[in-house]
Amino acid sequence: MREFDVVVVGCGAAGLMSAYELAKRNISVLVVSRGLGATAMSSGTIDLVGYFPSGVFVENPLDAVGEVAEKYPQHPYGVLGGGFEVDSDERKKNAVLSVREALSEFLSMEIGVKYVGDLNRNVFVSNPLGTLKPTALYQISMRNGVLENLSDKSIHIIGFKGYPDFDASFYAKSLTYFAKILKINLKDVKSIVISLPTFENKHNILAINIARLLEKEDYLSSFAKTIVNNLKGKHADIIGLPAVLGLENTENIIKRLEEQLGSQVFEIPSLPPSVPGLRLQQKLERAVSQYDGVKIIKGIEVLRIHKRIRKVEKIEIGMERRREEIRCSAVVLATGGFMGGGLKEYEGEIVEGIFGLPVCDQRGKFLEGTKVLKLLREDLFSKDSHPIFAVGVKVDNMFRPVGLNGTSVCENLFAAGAILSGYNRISEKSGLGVAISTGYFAGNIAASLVR
Amino acid sequence: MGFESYFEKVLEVVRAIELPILSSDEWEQIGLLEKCLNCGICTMFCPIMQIPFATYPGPRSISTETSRHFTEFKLMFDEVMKCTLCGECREVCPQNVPVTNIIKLIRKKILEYVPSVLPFSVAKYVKSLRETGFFTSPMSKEEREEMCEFLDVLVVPDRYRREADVVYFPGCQASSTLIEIFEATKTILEKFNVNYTLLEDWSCCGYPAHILAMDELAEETVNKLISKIGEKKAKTVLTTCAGCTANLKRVLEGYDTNITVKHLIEYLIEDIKLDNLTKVMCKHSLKEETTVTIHYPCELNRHVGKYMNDYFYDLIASLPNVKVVESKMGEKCCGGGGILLIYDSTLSLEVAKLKARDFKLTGASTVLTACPSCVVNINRGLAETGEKNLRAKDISIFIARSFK
Repeated sequence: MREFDVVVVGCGAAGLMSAYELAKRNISVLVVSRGLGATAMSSGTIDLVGYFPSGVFVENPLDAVGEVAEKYPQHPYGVLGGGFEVDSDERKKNAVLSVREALSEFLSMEIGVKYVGDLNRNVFVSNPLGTLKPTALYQISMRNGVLENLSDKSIHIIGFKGYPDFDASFYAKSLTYFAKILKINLKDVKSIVISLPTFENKHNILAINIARLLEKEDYLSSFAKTIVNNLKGKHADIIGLPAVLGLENTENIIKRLEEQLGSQVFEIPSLPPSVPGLRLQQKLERAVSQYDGVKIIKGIEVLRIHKRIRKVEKIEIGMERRREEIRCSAVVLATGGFMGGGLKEYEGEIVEGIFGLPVCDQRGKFLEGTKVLKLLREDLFSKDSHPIFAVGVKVDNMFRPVGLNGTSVCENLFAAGAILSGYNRISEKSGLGVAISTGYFAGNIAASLVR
Repeated sequence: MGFESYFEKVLEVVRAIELPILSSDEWEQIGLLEKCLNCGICTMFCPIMQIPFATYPGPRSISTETSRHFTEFKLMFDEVMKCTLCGECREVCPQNVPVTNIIKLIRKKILEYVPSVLPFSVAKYVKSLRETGFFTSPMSKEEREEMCEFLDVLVVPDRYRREADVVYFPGCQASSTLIEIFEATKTILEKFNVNYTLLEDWSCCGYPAHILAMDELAEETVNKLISKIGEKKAKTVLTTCAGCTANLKRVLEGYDTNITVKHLIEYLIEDIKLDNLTKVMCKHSLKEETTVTIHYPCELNRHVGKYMNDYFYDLIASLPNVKVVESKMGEKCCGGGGILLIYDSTLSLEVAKLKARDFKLTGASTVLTACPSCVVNINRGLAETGEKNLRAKDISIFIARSFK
């Protein structure tokens, strides 16, 4: 039987962040995951809080973390601040400190894609549909495309023929419309569609394949040449491209493109399957696996948990033709929400997939016997998001999941990321921010327990 | 009209317009596709979709299209044949959708209805399997000796016993084209005084038929083999082919026997033990330090279990004077699986070329793997990219050669 100090279930932002914290302290970690989840699907931007739960836009995300923690003790940020056990002022102070600590830890990772931005200021980054989303941190390739950097500049948006996930003219129109609402003046937004070298007459081109080819010097220069030819001498201050600019050397590719095109270049985050999302996933995976004693295994399932007097002793993992038991001193549950597969629908009700933990709604009320349909709104694109996205497990102030009686189920089981309840990551725009800060915190608590 | 006769009538219509009739198991399989979120993460990892010119729709399209109208399946033959069945799509899928099972199901349904759709390049192997019981016919003893002499490989006499602890099953490829694996494994077994035997009369394990979804043929072939193995009263079946290992392990799970199937890697680690191996190897150790990189065969990695990767790595890392450098794409499919090597060898080669470029970056002098198909395809890729010093080798050959 193999033995690890800690087993982390799930390899999204939360799971990998806690694995990183553990590995850094020379604690042996096994990260098991059934597949990739919401992190790899994400747009790659890291948002702390975009809107208050009341729906008001947030200017200063780090302050907003404090305000959210102050008002909502059951919100993950509130739990980070100390939960119900401390008064609201202290909760506010603690939450801001913890989130800042976690995010600066993330920003200090020198591997992989570089993140820029200000934790004290939300900026608008555009989506592939030309709509705008507030975010605190973004990948360096998106910097020139931040809305305020676009003001009073002429912009060319470039689409690729046969690439189905991005419509340049739609994006251009929609961006102009939404920028006007926010009183940002865009001088001239034009769109052109070009036929990419190697992909002539192809349809259903994958962003990842363009990204892989752009890593090669000769393809990059023919790509730049094609754009120059298609612009026919027209100059734009900024050129926007869908997110295809390489997986590893994005910064370098942008620099080379800017040299050859004579304009600034930015990337528009793409729909899933998203290259920026994959960059983030790879950054975290690499940051974790640079330490010895860490093992990441994908494609396996946790079958059973062996508990003994409120303690997880070992977990049983299932591979295709073999089962294996792994002894561990602590478990971090970071299996994600519905997208990641941590929560499941079973006979019309929501269940937590591995431990069968009770789930609760945003206000912390246990959902015993509540049907899934009651947690969905009739309007799919409803402005106040679906309550189902706030469903998750309830935790105490040490991030240990609690049972129906309100006390923790296991002493050495911690939860982090989208599996947590108490916040609606879709309407708040706080998914990756919560994942990274709770993952960091859970990792730290697990580390102090193992020590 | 009673229900029975009404049902008959419906079936008649279904047959007349040649709709596929699915059993309840098959419906269950197809039902699993409903979990697909259409997120497309699989398309970022699919080894075939890496190739820009491949007209392969990818796991996402197969999954979403099929869940909507399975009836158009006949048009999908070329598409489903281009899958190498490596299973990486399932491994990265947030919902664990078993796309490869669906691909096998579509292959099965098409071949049931229009068997003639199978191209000659594949059909000749099926014919051979049906008529002789072998995917590729094994060499006779004389041919093998002659070939070994030509390759400068030590010939180890075949050992046949009535009963033994271990049955060594080389599989079709190691006894017809890559015979060095066969000889090398015998060398290793002799070295450690294993009480083993070969099978006088054997047949293919049926894996090629299984991946072509010819279930009856696969079952018939494998049953023949298992009864032959049973006669030897052995506890362990030793294999050197990743495909045979995965297939025999899968089939024997459904049998009530105490025979366990072990790949050579598993056998060396679990039965011979690394300490003993290192002791023997130290005597003969390679004079200079060799740098190797590993290609993990999909059939061991994803069809048997991830522990095989650890075993493989531990085994190689324990060999004296061997330095392991992992490559970035070590776990990615080489393009030789799922019959693709035979069905569309250009596409297969293109995938292998990507692997070859990745292996070159490691600076290793040997690519070690544990599957004959991978050896063949990676070597094709390496040759095509103009690499002269780097070659792929089976692990058995690597160990046996250092005994010299």
